[in-house]
Amino acid sequence: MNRINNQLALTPDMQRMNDAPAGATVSLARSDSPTCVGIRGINKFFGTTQVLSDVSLEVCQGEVVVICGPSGSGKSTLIRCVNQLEPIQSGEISVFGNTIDRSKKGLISLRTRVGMVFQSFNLYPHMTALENVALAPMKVRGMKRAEAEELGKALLARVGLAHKAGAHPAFLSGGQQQRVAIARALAMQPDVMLFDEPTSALDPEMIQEVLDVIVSLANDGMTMMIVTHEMNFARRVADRVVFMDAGKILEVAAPEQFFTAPREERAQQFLSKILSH
Amino acid sequence: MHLDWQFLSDPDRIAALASGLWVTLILFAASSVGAIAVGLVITAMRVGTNGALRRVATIYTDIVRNVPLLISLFFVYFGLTSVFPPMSFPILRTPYLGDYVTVVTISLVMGGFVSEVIRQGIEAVPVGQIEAAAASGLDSLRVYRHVVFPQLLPLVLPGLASEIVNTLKGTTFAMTLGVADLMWQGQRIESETFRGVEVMTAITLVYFLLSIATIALFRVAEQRCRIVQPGS
Amino acid sequence: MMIILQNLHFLLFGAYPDGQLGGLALTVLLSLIVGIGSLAVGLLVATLSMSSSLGVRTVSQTIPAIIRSLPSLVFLFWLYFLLPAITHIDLSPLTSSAIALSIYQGAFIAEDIRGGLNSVPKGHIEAGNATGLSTTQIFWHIRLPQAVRATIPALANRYINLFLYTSTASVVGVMEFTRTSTLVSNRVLVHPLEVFGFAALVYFVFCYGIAALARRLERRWDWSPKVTRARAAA
Repeated sequence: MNRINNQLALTPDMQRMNDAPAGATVSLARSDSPTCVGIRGINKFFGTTQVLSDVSLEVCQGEVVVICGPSGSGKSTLIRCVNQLEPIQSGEISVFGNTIDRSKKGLISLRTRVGMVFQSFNLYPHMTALENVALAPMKVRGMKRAEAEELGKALLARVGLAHKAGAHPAFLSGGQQQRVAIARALAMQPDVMLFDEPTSALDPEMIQEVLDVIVSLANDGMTMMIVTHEMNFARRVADRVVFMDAGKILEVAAPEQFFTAPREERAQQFLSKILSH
Repeated sequence: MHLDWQFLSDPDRIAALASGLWVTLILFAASSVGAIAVGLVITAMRVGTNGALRRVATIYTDIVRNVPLLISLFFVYFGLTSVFPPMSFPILRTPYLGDYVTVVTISLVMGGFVSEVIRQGIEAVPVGQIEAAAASGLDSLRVYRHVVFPQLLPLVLPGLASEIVNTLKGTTFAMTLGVADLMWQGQRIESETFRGVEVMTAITLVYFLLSIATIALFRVAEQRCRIVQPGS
Repeated sequence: MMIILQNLHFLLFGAYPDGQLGGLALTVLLSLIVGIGSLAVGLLVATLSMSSSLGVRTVSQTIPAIIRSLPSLVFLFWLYFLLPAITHIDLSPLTSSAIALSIYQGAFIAEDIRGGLNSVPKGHIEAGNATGLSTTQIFWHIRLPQAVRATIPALANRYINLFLYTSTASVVGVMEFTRTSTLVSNRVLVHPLEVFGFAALVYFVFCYGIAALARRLERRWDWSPKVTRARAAA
């Protein structure tokens, strides 16, 4: 499932990646694709507790990276660091080669390129589905209302909810709310989409509709970092699987290899528990 | 108990009470507006990023909520005239000094209470809302305006209603500064006619009506700001 | 500063022992009396509000609601004139203040107590019923202890308010702390900031004390489930 564009030249970033020493920075990505998200040597503390230890990862354009691991392994924290919802104490994060600038303007410009979908949807309850989707394009990109609503309707159709454009979140099922949340994140036309356990808060019968939308986004070539417990889904959609435990990346592998023969013992334990029921 | 309501038929007395009511209403309105304004400023300091401002705001609310309003009124009124004697500062020689001091002091004190109500409302808005808005690139001002504020209003209105009623209650202390409000007029009539029970019953009724009118107003506002809920 | 020290005795104790007790001592005494009185009133009203008779319930909820909507000064003045007229007994300002404030604060405490009782989860009461406990037993052993714990914050705030607004009595002439401070300031004339600043400080310190006491009680009576490491391991 190779969606990587072969025709792009080597950027200085990719050059650096080629020259980087082996170790935790294991990357099986093709070296001729531009790096969308570069994570280098991140350390993060909540107070005195270290939640991320020297984490490094490169995500290439068009790639889908699934991050999994036991609770408390730091996987959600990691992607929240990418769009700076969590600050880091040391290390470097770059998006398209530009190191993240923590000034107000820098953060906003970062967040217009990185979209995020949350476990608890976080739809604005006082607005309709369409208004939820259209808010950011209107206020951040300065789109006119008519144009933003056009975009909104198109995106809601994309996730299969054109008929619910005028509904408030309170009247939508969990699966529908999450799909609206995906449309809302897509409205800013991001380069990278982050998913923080998108189906963990859903009733079982609604999980599939959301996963189907994510798979179709992947097929369209969207660069994604997904934290999830849905292993079958991960198998289908991932280009690489990243396994984390206790704040460290323990293993990075292609899905077929990871799910059939994981190298690390912790990964084996995790998989056996999660796939047993 | 022999009740004599004759004083109500005397037009001068009625005029006096009406004038007192008018003064009370003005004090009430001005103090309410002032309290909300001060409350917003203090809340902005409390939830802002500047640590020093946050500490100042916290100390401020602690002080104004733990000192009786009477003491605050006397402190400001007598303190002001002592530091700036009206002899040397003609601007303070107005007969309405008590009124002005009342409005300013009540605004400052009730502002502390109002800021607590607003702050609790802000904390009640789920963090995820702010994160989602920020994650789509909205700046803080827009996040507050479009996402936090609309959800804040229904949370804040009930508490605000009760603090505004407290502001009305606070205006009654103005009589100690010589302000000619409803209570002051009532006192004067009592001292002239010795019909304390009747006068005070009438005044009690008026304040009761003012209170419930205020609460009713806020209930109407709450209805109009309600966020759509399932099953409605 | 000197002004305060010179007048300290009067500020704190009023004319005692040459006259009636006054000053801060009277404020504390009045607060204690009203504190107990209002608690009694509050408990009575709260109990009545749970009565099976609709009439009793309605009256015991409407009258306190009306009282709560009034300014304390207005209620105080009203009772100050009304009580002697009804009972034909001449009441001193101190006595009528104590009675009026007890009723006034009691109306608020009744509401706080009702809130505390209602905050006990229905599930606990159902569990009690399911194991065969009688209504009274459920009330005493399940509802009341949890209600007490839940009411502490509201009650603490109410008592702080009560302490601060004993100052209302000064307007009808009771010689408590606010009144003695005012008299001292008016006598000295040139140091109002010091005198009233001192008064504010004293009230502030007392309120902090009440709040701190309430926090300690909350911690002592905290019955929320706590799983400790030891228990979890066993």
